[in-house]
Amino acid sequence: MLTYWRKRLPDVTLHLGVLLLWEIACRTVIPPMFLPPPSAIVAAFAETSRTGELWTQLRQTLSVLSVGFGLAAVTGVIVGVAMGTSKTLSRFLDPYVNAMNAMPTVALVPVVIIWLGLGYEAKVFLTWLVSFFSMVISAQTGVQNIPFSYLDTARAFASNRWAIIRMVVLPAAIPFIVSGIRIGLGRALVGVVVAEMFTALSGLGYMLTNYGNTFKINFVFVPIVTLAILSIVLNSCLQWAEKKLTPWNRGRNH
Amino acid sequence: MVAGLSVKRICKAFPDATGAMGFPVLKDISFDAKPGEFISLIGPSGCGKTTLLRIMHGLDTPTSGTIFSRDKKINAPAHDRAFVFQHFNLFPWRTVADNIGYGLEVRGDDRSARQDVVRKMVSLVGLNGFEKHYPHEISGGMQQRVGIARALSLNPDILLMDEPFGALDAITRERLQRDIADILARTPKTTLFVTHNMDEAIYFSDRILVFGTKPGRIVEEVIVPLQRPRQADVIRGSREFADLREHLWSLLSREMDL
Repeated sequence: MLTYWRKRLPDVTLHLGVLLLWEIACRTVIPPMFLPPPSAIVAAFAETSRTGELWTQLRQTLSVLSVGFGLAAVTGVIVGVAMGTSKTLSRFLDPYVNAMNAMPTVALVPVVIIWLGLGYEAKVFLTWLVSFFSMVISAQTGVQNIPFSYLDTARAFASNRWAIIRMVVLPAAIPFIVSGIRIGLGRALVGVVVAEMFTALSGLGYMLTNYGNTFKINFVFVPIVTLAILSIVLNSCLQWAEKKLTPWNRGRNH
Repeated sequence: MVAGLSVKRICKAFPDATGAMGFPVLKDISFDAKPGEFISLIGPSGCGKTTLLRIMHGLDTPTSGTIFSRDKKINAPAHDRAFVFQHFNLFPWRTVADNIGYGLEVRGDDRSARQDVVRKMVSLVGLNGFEKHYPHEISGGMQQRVGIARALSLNPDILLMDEPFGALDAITRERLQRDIADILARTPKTTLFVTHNMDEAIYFSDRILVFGTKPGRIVEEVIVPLQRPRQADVIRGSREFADLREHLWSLLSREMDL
């Protein structure tokens, strides 16, 4: 433990130094309306968590994110694997999936509002929409890139189609699927915030808009920093899950 | 009694760039493998011996001709035959034990029956203590032991081996050869064995089919009259062995562009 911290000491010092420089710069040359000093951001965090606002809004954002992203991951992997295993299906769906993936899906916000209104369903749907297609494509690519030798071996042992999918295709594609889910997570976070800012204001998106409109710039940084932390934490969780799911991959890619 | 195999007038050509059938890889191959017989297919690279082995398992389809086993036409892999690959082809996400049990799982054997067979196979190929290892954690020789155990676990009538020792170093190869000879002596199978190692072919075989190239065809059938059980170091010093080797060499060197 002690050696761990001793090794990290130069890094920690460096980052503390950056924060200190930022603080000094804000108190001397940078106008506070332009960029708040770290101390003001910390104060804003303290204030919003004391009033409970941060926790209420974070809970709302997490609720939309988990439902929208969760649905996108499950449906995206199912559709992607189906497209990867069926040439007919992928030939038919490829143009649509690629077009939807290439398009900035946030352009569909007005359409979604017309369809589903401004409420919870619209936000969940937008989150799903923004992240779904990238996960379809990753799962599909993973399945289509399975080395021939695996499929050949499966066939040599007279595996039927379902056995091949369950015992060979899925485990072989897991690294692709998980990296797709991680890309999808990044997109889903964008989706949630966009949804919260452009439909009925709520969650961290509400905090961004509200404090931005009232020029409380140090409060604007509360949802920004929270989103950054959220993204890092969720990503680490996925990384951990990937390691747990692919113990055979240890020492190969890592 | 295990089943034999009957190969009747197999031809194989792959379509060329224009889509027309190209030069034949295999031309008019016919032979019978008697039940329990060990047959080696030896020949220069590109003579189609691996393709023929794959056709015999139903992994590839011939352009014309048929293969029968127990009077039934072979057109897809089945569990009464098993295949051993040159490059092992283990599944990296399965442990040693789960790789060995793959065929049993596909066949639908229940868990406890599978575990019994896998345990027997693990000790048969000498992998005790490595059951929970993943393929990348064990050596090439051990990986091929897994590949062989996976094939034998199905207790097949017919064993098809595609240069099973080809990717191994000399010492590992020799040890594995002896172990496999022992195993096959205890549980006889009709075995078809692709190799381009003459010593290996003589050591194992009842009969050696020597292949020529362009097009792939059988140039001669060499009977190996050596008594069984054979001891590698003893037979290698024998007169018959030297004569057989000499004969194989003259056939093969004629087929290779030297």
